[in-house]
Order: sequence, then C-alpha cells, then structure tokens
Amino acid sequence: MTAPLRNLVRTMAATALVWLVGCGGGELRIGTKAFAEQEILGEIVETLLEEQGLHVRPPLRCPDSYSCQRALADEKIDLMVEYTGTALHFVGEPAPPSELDPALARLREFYSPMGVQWQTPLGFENGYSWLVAPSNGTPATQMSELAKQDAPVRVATPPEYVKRPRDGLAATADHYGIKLARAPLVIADPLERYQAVATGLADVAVGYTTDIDPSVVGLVALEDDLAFFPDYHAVVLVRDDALARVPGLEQVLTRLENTIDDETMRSLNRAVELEGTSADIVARRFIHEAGLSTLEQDLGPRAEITVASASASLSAMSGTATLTALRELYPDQSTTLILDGEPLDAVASGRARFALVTADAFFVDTRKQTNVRRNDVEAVAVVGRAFVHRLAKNDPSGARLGISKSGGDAAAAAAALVGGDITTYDDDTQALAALGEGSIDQAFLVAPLGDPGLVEAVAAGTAVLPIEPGSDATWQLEHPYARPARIPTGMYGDNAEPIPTLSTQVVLAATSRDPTLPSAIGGPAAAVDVAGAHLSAEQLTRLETALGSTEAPDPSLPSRFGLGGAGTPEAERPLIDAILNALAIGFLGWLFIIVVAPARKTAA
Amino acid sequence: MADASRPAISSTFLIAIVACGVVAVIGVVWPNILQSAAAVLTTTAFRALDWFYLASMTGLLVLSLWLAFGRFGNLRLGADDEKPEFSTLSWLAMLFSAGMGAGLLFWGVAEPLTHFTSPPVGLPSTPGSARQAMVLANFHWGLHAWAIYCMAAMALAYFAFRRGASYLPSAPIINAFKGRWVIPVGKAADLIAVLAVAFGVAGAMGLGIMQLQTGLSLVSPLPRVSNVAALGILVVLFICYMISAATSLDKGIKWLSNINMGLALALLAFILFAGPTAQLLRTFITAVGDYVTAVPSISFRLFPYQDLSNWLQSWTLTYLIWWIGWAPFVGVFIARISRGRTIREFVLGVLLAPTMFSLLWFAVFGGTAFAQESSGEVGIARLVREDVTVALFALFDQLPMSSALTGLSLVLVFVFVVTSVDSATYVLSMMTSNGDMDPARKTKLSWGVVLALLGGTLLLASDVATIRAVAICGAIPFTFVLLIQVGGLMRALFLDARAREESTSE
Repeated sequence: MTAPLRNLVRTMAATALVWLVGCGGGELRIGTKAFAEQEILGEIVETLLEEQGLHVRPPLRCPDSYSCQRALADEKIDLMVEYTGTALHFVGEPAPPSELDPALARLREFYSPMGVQWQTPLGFENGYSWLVAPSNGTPATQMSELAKQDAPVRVATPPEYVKRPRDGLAATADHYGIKLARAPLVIADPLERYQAVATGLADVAVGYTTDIDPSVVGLVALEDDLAFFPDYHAVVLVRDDALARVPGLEQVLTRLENTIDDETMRSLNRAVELEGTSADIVARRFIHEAGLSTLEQDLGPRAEITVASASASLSAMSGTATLTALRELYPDQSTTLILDGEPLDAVASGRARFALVTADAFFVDTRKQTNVRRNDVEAVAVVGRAFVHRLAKNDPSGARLGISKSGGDAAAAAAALVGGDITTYDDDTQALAALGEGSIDQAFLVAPLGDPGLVEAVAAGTAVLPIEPGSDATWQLEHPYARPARIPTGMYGDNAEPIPTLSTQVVLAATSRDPTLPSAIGGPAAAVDVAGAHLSAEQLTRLETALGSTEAPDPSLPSRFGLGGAGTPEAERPLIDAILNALAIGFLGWLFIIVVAPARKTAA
Repeated sequence: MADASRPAISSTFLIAIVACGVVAVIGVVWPNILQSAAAVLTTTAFRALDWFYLASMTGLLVLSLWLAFGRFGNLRLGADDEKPEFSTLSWLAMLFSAGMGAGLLFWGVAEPLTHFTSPPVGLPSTPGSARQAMVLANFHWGLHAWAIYCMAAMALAYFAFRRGASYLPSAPIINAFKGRWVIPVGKAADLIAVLAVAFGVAGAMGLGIMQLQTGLSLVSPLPRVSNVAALGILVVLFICYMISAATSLDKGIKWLSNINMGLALALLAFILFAGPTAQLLRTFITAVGDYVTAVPSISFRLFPYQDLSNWLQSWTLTYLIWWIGWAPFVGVFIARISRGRTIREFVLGVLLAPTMFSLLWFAVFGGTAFAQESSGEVGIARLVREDVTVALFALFDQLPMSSALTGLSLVLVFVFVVTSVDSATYVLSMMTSNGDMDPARKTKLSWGVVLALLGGTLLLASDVATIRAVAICGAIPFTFVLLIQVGGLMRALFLDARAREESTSE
C-alpha cells in the first residue's frame, strides 16, 4: 500500500507546483450586460488586452445595468462599457447633460470616490428610440403626437427599459403624457420587437439607435420632440486599482478612444444579431479592419451559411426576412447574404447554401439559352413576390428596350412580349441610369412591390406602363412561372388604376433532398455538425413558419409539393436495408444453430 | 494451438498494415472520398440495423448478469483452485484506470451539457432535462459499455486460462467450434479486430490532439485552428510513444499511467470541493437512482414512432459501437489482470466499478457545468455548442486557479493519449504476430508509424464528425465477431459443464 501513497504525494506535489505557476500576474475581468453590443465591446477590449499579454478571464455576463454596476463596485469586475445617460440617471442626476464632456465631468464626480474611472469614450452614442410602422395606422412622426391618441399605446420593450425609473417606459410615458396599454410586451430580441410592431401586435417598439436599421421592416423612428432622452455615449469604465495593478492597461484603452462611430457599431451589431457571427469573431474583424492591431488574427471562417442572390433589390427587400428566418433554423451558425450572378449555380456547386431568387431563375439554362427547368436545386420556401416593372421616361412607345441581368428570364420574356431591341445591363441601377439618360426607351426590371429605387425613379418622372401577356398559349407554356398580376393603385405615384403586369414568386432555393442523412455520421459530435446539405421535413416547416409564408411554391417549380419531386426521405426504404436486415436475422439464426449444435466427438 | 509455428510476420499483419496504409493515403490524397465512404458505411449500417446493434448490446448486458448470478457464477477464470493474481483492491484500481481515459476528459463536461441544452425528449435547460442528461451520459458510458468489455474479456480469459489459448480474437472461435468455416472466419475475425482497434485508437488520438490544441491555444500563443500545430502535437506524441515502444519502457509507462490516474482523481476531488460540493453530491446520488431506474427502459428504446432515430444513431449507437471497436483491445487488458477471478466476481467488478466511477465523474463535471450554466453568467453551453473541445477549459475558467487546472488537464490528456496509443501498438502487434505475447520490436514500431499516419490523416480532415465516423468503421463488422466469440464462450461453458458432469458421474 505504500506505492499508491507515494503516488498520491507525488500527485499533490505536482498539483501544488502547477497551482503556484498559475497564480502569478494580475487577472482582469470585464463585465458585459446581456445584449449583443455589450458582448462585442467586451470581446474587443478583451482581445486587445490579451494581445498585450495581459491575462483576461472570460467576461462576467450580468443580466442588466444594475448588476453590472454592482459587480464593478464590488470589485468582481475591473472593466465595463457604460453609457453616459444610463449612468447619469442611475445616480439620480436631475438634469443629465447630453454633451459628452459635461456628462463625463459630472459622472467623474460621482464615480471617482468609488475608485472607478470614466476612462475611454468609444465614439458612438446608443440611445433609445420609439419606432412605429406608418403602414400600420400610426402616422405620427413625433412622440408627442402619441399623447393625442385616444387608444392606449401598446409598447414592445426590451426588459431593462421597463425597470428603469428615470428614463424607462413609465418615465417616458409620464413625461409625454402618453396613455400606456396595461401590460407592455417585454421582448429581448430587437428583431422580434420590430416584428411585433410590423405585425400589429404592438404600436411602438422601443429600440436602441445602434440596433439593426428598423426601416428594413418598414419602421420609422419618432422624434423625441420634448427632448426627454439625454445622449448615451459609450465609455469604458475601469477600476483605479486595475489601472494601478496592470501596467499597460491604460495604454490599450487609450488606443480604443473614439474608434467606433455610430455606423460602425450598427454594422457590428448587425453581424451578430442578424447574421449570427459570434461576438469574438466580429470583435477580431473590427480590430483588424480598424487597424488597431497588426498581429495576425483568426478572423473566423466565412459565414457558415450563405444565401446567394443575383438581385440587389431582392436582397434589400427580402434579405432581412430571410436571414431572420434562417437565424431560427440555424441558431448556432452565422449567415450572410452574398451577391452572385448565378445564385442557383452557387447552390448547386456548394458555394452557397441557399439562393434567394425569383421563380424564373429555374428556367434559364444560360449555357444553351433554352427554357429547360433545372431540377438539381429545389424551391424550399416562398419568401414573397416580385413584379415585372415596365418603365418608360421619354418615349413610352420607343423600341429600345433594356433589361438587367438580375431580372432573369422574367424581364427578358416581358421585353420580348413588347418587342424591340433588347440591351442587357449588369444590374437594375445601370438599367435605370440608361433609361434616365435616354439611351433606352423602356426598362424591364423585376423587383418586389415598393422597391425604394423604383419609387424614387417614379417620383423623378418615370412612368410604369402596363404589360399585356395576352392569351398566347405557347408563350404561357414557355414561361410557366409568370402569373398575370396588377400593381395596386397608389403603389407608384398616383396610378389611379391597377397596372396589369406579370408577377412571379420569390423563393428560397436549396439543393434537392439527398437520401443520405449527414447528421447520422456526426456521432456524439452531432452537436457541432449541423451544416448538412439536407433539410429535413421538420426544418422546412420551421423555415416556413419563420418566414411567415404559407404559400406553397408554384407547381411549375421543383419542390416537395410538386408531383415530380423526390419523395420524402423518411418514406424511402432502400433495398439494401432489407438485405442487411435479412442478413442480420440470418446471422443470429446461424449463431444460435452453431452454439446449440450437438457436440460431435470432441477431443477434450 | 494455432500459434505453434510462430512465423515472424503473419498474413494478418501484412493485410492489416496495407489496409491501414491505403486508408491513410486515400485520406490524404482524396479526403472527400474517405469522408463520404465512412459516412455511407456508418449511415447505412445504423439506418438499417439500429435494432440489431442496440439489441446486441443490451443482450450482452443481460447475458453478463445472467452469467454472474446463474449456474456458472462460481466458475473460475483459471484453474479451479487458482488464487487471483492481483489483490481485489489493486484489481479494482486497474479496472478504474481502464475506464478512465482522455475520453472522459473530452466528454465529461461537453456531453451532459449538450444533452442538457438540447435533449432528445422534453424541454431544454430545465431541471428535467438536467436529470435526463445525466442518465443519457451514463447510459453511453456506463453498464452497456462495460458489458461489452466484460463479455469480450471473458471470452478471451476463459479460453486463455482454461484452455491455454492465446489472446487472439480468433481463439474463442477456433477453440469452441468445429467445421470448415472455422479457420477462415477466425482469420477474418483477427483482421477485423485489428482494423477496429487501429481505426478506433487513431480516432481517439485525433480527438485527443484536437483537445490538446484547444487547451494549448488558451495557455500559449499557439493558434486555435491550424493543421501545422495539430501535426506538431502529433509528432510530439509520436516521438513519446515510439520511444516507449522501442525501448520497452513498460515500467516507465506503468508509472506514468499510475501518476496520471492519481492526477485525474486529484482533479476530480478538486472540482468536487472547489465547486458546489453538496449540490454535486446531490446530483451524484440522484443520478445513481435515475440511472438504475431508467436502464431497463432506455436499453430497449429505439424511438420507432418519433423522429429521433438520427439522435439515437449519432449518440447512443455511435458510442456503443465505439466501445465495441475498443473491445478487442481493452478485452485483452481486462482478461490479463483477471486471472483467477470467478465469473461472478469478474462480472460485478468489471460492470460496477467503472460505472460507479463514470457516474461520479459526470455528476461532478456535468453538475458543475449545469450550476455555471444556470447561474447565467457564463454561457458555457453556448461556448460548447460552438466548439465541443473548449468544454472542459470553459468550465475551469470559472474556478479558482483556472490556468493551473487547464495545464494539469493538458498533461492528463497528453499522457492518456500516449499510454493508450502505446498499449494499442502492443496489442496490435500481439494480434498480428499470431498471439505472441512478446511481439517483435519492428512490428510494434510499424504499428506506431501506421497509427500516426492514420491519426494525421484524420486530423487533416479536421472535423470531429469524420473522425468519429472513421473510428467506428472497423467496429461495425467487429460486432459480428464479438457475437460469435460470445457464442463460442457460451457453447464452451455448457459443453465443459456437461463434460465435468459426465466425468464425475462415471
């Protein structure tokens, strides 16, 4: 029994040694509040500090500002990013100054006795804004207009805003005299708050000014006309003792001063909240791009899930909805939109996971210029509709026609219906420009209704003309994706009558289902292996729910709804399975027989 | 017996070496082919035969319990009057050490946490899913795994100690059955066993290196993702185990292995006492109860009416099959240390000792992770979802002396990988030298090189999924070999019993 004892002593000695080595040097800890911006900023500070060889523990994630400030006062953390307005209200300042310098001066008075420095202004301001949807019957542009409404206002708010006594929901409503509906909708995710307003669940969404641009779902910010909110400049707070203990800390923080403006912060937030890139990758990319570090950085892989689209208009109008839906489908993976001239080829060749296309993209074989439907890629969900816009400026009957590549077959077919010399431009903008300077008479652009570029062009004097598909059966057979449609009144300028034209579905396309289930090879690592080519029936349903689309893809497209498509993989029972099962049963029978077979004269 | 002639190089050796070499070359030159071949093989086998595999493994568990408590319980693995070679305490300690390995360090935090946050049944991150997570982790690492080793080892031990056969995987088949099929099937069994061990060990080495790399990137400027760094670690490992294989430093390896075992226990104790001790012990006791209660139902649960066969395949079956891949290797070890035990002692020791250990291990590591996750401050579950290899280090980060713990666990993983690859080269050499217990040095060195090549190939694939798929490729056919071995054992038990009855009645 002495050997195990000796081993134990050795073990303890070794452990003690490692312990001693590990304890040297000052450790720093950053606190972050529970939203994306704070995580990103925490990672930026942490990465820069680590680069200087300082040891930083992973951030302490505080649920709200209260606990984060408490942790700083209790010396649980050494650094955090705080906003001037938040802290001024936090300490009960009656009239918080908005400008950075007076705000900092005031705050330093409060915080210096606690041993906390308001060290580094980062250069951006992240305040509150009240957002409404004009399309939703709330035509207000100023917050005070809300007070004039009879109906109580339903608010979708982030969790902390409800709590804050000085600049929170109740305080804001009281200041303006706004009647609030009884219970606010408390939603942490900014996009979900936007959606709550866009879908009419709430009248107002409370957003942060550095969040994803709310106009992507048609929301606009109300003016704070009674100047209720102060400015919320982001500043790095650091404990005095940490500054004294860790040489080099102050210098690192100084380098960060005024490096992030509002626009940069917005794009960093978007990368995390909408595209799902992890905060540390976003932080390292920022450090790299801002030139804060010359060291080689691991900038992470390109987004794991890419959505290819040929049309800037489509990606602007439907991209956010698509990315939001994919966020629900792949919560752990980053997604991004890329522009690609041949989005379906990109999916088929694996360059992209999904393609955001109009239905006609399935019908053009660019190599042979024939209308053959391709089946290697399939429509998995309907995102929306796109209309062919026949635009004319100077000479509506002129025969010099222009289409853009991103318009695909739909634009070409519509132009062919009208007849004339067709010029192809690289994108919608070029075609519009050509129309503007008169080098073409008519342009055929495929875009969702209300595309801002088109609205602008119409406002500048371009007319939207009707397209009459007629009843040519051959034409219809050749272009099965096109649906006769009418652009509603008032959509562009003041068209009094609906304008007849063609519409087509905007679909999300992915590779056809493959009977092999990649997840089955994942082993216990299946948790990290979610990027297979295959979409299960359950995933498809979730995708549709997330997109809010109930329409099935057009029967002319390859999809699981089509009769010609592949069957559901669950229903397939390959012959090999039956053979293997028969062999396994045969094996068991054989094993039983040889085990119980009577022993022939055994030589013992 | 078959090994009477002792030629220097057996045909098994040549075929197996060539097969492994070809796989390694394919993996380097056409990695996609290796990946998809491994995927197709494992996917097809799992999809079609999941019932067969789960039933086989549960069958082995039931059979081992029957052997312990049935009529053969008092039969001795050895001569009838033989005393056990090792004292019960050191025997149990050795069984513990067989159960402990780099795998527990890799999955000890990651697995319970993954089941906790994405459970197959029920709502995630709830008290219910926490208890289910413990049950599932232990299902994958507990009685079923050890029933496989137990039966594989018992078949080898019975024929080795009572019939004087070698430890070759073919020995139970050749000695129990008669017929023209026996010799070819025996040869095939040896070959399949060699491939199962080679792929299984190479896979474990790959996972170990990935974890070492993650850990090193935390305490040193080594990059987190870099093939060069991974291959560098592989080269260091290679040098270490090749030195030991070339110089027969058996004493040294044994000493190293004991030290490592002690360090692992110290780590376990530290986490237990540095974390929420009482809570962890509550978790442990509850997990014991939950596991014992759940075993009868989960042993037969194939989810035929739920869409969970993917989950079952990628977790339960992959694990159990992996254990089967290790069975020819661990079986030899367990058989060797168990000479002179009765079948009852053998089964109870092999099943219960390591299972209790893994229950405690998962309760302490998983329980600490649950506590950290529910405190909401760390987001450890998210870190693990992004990269399973960080699980252990993310846990340490919240504990005092985190860098010391990280350093210690890196040493542990490194030594575990070195010692297990070292023993694997020994067992592989034994199996490819017709069962020679003192295989030629050049055979061991050849296996050392081949394992390094295979491990390097898998690392270049740098994808945990591929590593696991390849690691279990050899094990899928070995299941059949194992069942024939066990069939041979049962046949020999009954025939020998009848022979004893006849000889006493005459």
